[in-house]
Amino acid sequence: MSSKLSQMIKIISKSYSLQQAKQEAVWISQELPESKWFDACEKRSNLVPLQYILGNQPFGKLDIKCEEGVLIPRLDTEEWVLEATNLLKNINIDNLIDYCTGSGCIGLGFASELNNLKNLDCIDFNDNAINLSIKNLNHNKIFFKKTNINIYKGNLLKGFLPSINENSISLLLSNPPYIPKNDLNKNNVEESVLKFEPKEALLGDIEFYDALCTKILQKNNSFKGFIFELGYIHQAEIVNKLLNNNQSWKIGIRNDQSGNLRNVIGWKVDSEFTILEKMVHTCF
Amino acid sequence: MFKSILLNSFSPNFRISIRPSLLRIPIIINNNIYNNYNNYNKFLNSSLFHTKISQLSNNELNNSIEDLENDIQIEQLHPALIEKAESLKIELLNLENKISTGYSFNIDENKKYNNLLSFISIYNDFINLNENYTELLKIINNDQEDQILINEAKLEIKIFKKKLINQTMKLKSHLLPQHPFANNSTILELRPGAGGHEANIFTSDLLNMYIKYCQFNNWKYEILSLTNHISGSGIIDATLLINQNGSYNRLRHEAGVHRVQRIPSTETKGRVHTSASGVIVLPKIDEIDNSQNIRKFKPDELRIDVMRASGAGGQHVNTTESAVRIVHLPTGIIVSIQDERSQHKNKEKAFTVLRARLAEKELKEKQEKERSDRTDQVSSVDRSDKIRTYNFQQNRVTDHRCNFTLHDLDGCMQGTKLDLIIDQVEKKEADDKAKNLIKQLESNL
Repeated sequence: MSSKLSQMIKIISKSYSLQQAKQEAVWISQELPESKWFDACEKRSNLVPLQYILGNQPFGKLDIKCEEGVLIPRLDTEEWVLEATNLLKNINIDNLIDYCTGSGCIGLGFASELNNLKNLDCIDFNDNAINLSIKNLNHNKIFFKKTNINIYKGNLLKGFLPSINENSISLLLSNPPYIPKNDLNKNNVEESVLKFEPKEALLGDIEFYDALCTKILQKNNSFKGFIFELGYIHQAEIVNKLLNNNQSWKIGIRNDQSGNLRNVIGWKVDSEFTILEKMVHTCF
Repeated sequence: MFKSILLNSFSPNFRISIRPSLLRIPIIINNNIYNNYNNYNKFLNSSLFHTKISQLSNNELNNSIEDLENDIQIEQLHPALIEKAESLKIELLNLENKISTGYSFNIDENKKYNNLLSFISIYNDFINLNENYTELLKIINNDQEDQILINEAKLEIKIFKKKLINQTMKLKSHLLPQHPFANNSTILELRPGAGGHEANIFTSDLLNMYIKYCQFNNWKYEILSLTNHISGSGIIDATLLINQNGSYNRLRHEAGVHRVQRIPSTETKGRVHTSASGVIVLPKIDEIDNSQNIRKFKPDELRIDVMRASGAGGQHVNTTESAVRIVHLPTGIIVSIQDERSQHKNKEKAFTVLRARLAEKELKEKQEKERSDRTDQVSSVDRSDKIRTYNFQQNRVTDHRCNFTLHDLDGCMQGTKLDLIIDQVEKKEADDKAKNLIKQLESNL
């Protein structure tokens, strides 16, 4: 470790713990040219997310590019994506639809892990997200040899839905913005996130889950399963309420490795997605 | 002036005693001679030696080397070992008889059959070579024979001798039981021991030595984790993965405490310090390995800790803290990995290390048990205490298990001469094992 590195650690540790500063200084020195080291550390001490500074975040086996204006893939998201793909690895899936795809990490993460996925549609309404997800598709394309991938610009709240054969087998995924307006503040959200990540990828509540259920799931018979990321129990409850008049859906919630509520998951009882039950902690 | 000379190009497994008249120096090669290496170096540097060598023509030099080869003694295999080989031959015959009656093997029998088959081909080659060699020897030693025939036989016997020596070695090593992880890849864990900051620096030197050794051997390696000392020099711990099948069989001899004696760069008064570094050598267990050996963990067997983001997690926080710690509850083994930005990769690495540590632990326990079951003493090679001393002032590396000293410390640290030391440890182990095996075979008679 050079004296340069200890200076870098010093700068970052103004805002973060020494342990974290050490690790990040090493990563910066490994990934950026030396001329950018100090600038990067200064930015970091000003709470700019490391992923925007380095320009990427590992996600499963993928290297996901990160740009300001698009939400950074979370470790909590990677965790459930890998858990789900591990269960679904060899199951035949015709269509995978990923709404609010952002960087594309969820949809592309599934496509990189699943062996029998025919088609993936990633949808976002934001141009930055569309551009970045296309970059990520091309950047990681060696992992998607078996799957046909489309990226659409479309608005979930307005019910945008790519054409899907009603007789096929589809799985719906989404990580919509889920922080309610009252919680989008320093007390509930990390300062770095508030300052530098796009509000429109964070601010949201039941309207997105409502749209996912009523404008997507119930509009096409091919959907046999879904996994949504969320942050609050009332968001899971609305999904359950909207779907449980239809006895064919089985719905449960999943907690992440930190013990926080993270997903609402559903499957048609007669489908192969019943295996998703294994990642559910409590069923409704 | 009589001096002892070590010739590096010759395997030290054989006693050589020759008297090349031109050099007028007896050259004796055996294990103890390495201790005289210093004298040899002094001698080599003396002008006397250089003038003598330069006076020799190439042809004369070749001749003297041939003389030297002629005098290599062929190691006689102990009758008990030959007996063991014969019994394996009978075993193979029995298996072959089974096949001819239409019996089909299960996996274990199949493995055994293949192993025996390859062993017997080595044994048969050995027997053929030995017969040819003895025949030729008879001709040479027969005074009534035609002189031309004797000369031809002399030429031919050189080739057979070389082959026979190699074959004897091969046969011996195949007769000895193989290490259960002999074909595995390796995980090396390095930790500083006593000696303060100097121990951190020496640990980093050792890591570099093993990395250079891998490069020298063209082995793929990867640093799984590395924690630098806060001062910037030296390391607190390091884990090196060496992705080369069979590397474990070589590197397992590196396990133990490595001692260094030198004037540390941190020392202001020029005093020699003694510090130490611990090397742990683990067999890498491949997860794709479809043998039954692969360990499945029950959920309640493990506790996996990750850096927990405070508060709600998810979109609320963007943590970069990807450290993973796995605790194996039944054994109390703890593995922490934090080097990768990907938590999932850190977890994979932690599992790799955990599997390796468990495999080694189980093996050690098994060996302990076998040892206490046996009455005889097992070689000291297994003991993982102070195994080697690196003395910088005297430019030497001494391995305490086989009492071997290499007077080229730099060559060792550069990874190019480390093999010379490992060869000696390996030979010591093989000799001890052979002795044990012979004892066992004799007591069974």
